[in-house]
Amino acid sequence: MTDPAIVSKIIQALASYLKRDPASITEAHHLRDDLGLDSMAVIELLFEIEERFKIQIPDQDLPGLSTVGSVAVYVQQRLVPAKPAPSHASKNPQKARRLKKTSRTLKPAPSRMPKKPASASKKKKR
Amino acid sequence: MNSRVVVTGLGVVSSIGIGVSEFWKSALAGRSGITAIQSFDPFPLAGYRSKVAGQIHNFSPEQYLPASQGNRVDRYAQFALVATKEALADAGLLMAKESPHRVGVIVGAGMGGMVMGEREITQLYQNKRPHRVHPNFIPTITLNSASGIVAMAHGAKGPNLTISTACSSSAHALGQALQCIRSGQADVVIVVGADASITPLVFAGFCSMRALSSEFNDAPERASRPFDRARDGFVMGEGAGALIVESLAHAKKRKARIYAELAGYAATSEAYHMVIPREDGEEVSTTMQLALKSADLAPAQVDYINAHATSTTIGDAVEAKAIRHLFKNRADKIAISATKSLVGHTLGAAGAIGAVASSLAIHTGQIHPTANYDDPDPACRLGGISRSAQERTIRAALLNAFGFGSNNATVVLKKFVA
Repeated sequence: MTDPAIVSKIIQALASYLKRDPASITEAHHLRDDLGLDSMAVIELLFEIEERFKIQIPDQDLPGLSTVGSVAVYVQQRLVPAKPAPSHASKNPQKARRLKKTSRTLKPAPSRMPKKPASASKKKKR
Repeated sequence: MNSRVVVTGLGVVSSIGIGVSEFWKSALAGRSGITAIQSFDPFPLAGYRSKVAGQIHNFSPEQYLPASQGNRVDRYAQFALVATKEALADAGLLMAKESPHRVGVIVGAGMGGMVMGEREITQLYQNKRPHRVHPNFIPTITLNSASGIVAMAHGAKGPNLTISTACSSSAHALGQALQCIRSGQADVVIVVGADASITPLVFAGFCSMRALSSEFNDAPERASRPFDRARDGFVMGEGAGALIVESLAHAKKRKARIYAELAGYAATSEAYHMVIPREDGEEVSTTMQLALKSADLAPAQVDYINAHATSTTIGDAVEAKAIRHLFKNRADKIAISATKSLVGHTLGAAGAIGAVASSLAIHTGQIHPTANYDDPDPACRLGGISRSAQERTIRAALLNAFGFGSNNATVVLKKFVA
């Protein structure tokens, strides 16, 4: 059960960004398909989330953050005081090794992200 | 009919070489100029997601420039001056023999004087002493400081312009130079692209966009990998490219050596998104098509594309899709290289550095490799991309440059035939 306070904070951040009534946003809403956030807007939203919850969200965790609910679950997991989580699991052990190395400087992230295909990649720049 | 315009001199300052000779030798060898960032003093490197860049190390302006020039301007303008000096010498263009008002300067720059800019801003907010802002702050930070100092250094009194369209700046500078000469405003234009903004705030800004590669921090030379499956963002670079562009009549009169003909240009906006390209690639395809039309050439005549190819997931795929769409069953037969795989993304300088590489390719028949093209991404697979150098007689080449702000440019260069 996701902490309602966390859900509320995330919805507030979204409502503020989208300039709409928080009551119109639910956990089930898909950031892109329902709320119309493009990849840059998702990055800006997550920047706000990082600021509000004092966490850092590494790039490799972005693909799983597709709905309001999944963002809330992720934030809750990150807020649990814990031993550092293993790096993001990958089918590619070489990539996982690389990710493990580079995430040394960032706050450790849990590897419990749902395996969703990265439909709209986080990277979209020219 | 449009008057003909040619490229007669080249200059470059890059992380794989200062000077065309070193640059081209490194480029043909596929050498990467990307290295680990040592520090962004006083900020901890831990605060930056990406820790690699195409920095130009050990650049001392006094080695190349008189103090009266080098000390008065910021790093990007120093690069512009050094590249220009080489290009003019390469072209054998003696300003003393030219009518000064017939020689113009067009600079493409995205960020400009950020080194001094960030320093002065930081000091003001930290020290709260407005009266101690340096008197040279404004002349340094104004985005046309490079075009100003280049003109001053060489007595070029013709049209003096700075074009700022982010990553497409100096491609547009080339295009505007073409139009400037064709309109009769100048006989010669010194075209420069320059940027040097691997600075604490700018770099942090790109990191915050999650636009930069961050998965190869421990292997910097492998970070810029356009069209490769493992690409994860672009790598910032810095540098300058300079081209001497003149009317054919003027070049013939002084018996100049001609690298290539500047044949066409298209400038468009996708009118879509500040940083995200349209995924269907149609706008990019249209830009290339318009450029070819302006050069009176057909897609069938293109043998080389110097791709924009920044190593971003979406950008490279969009460009590849557009190339496939425009060139259809010839798409795999066109040689393609990504200069950014070697020097990183030099922002405003990218178009000019790409044009230097394209001019050399046309002139020598050699095309530099695309570094780190180890595992081709099926979404951007094109037969002409190679991690080895290629040899090709190039009839016509396209130079692509796409900028933040939904801005696209394609320049057409072709083999000069008298």
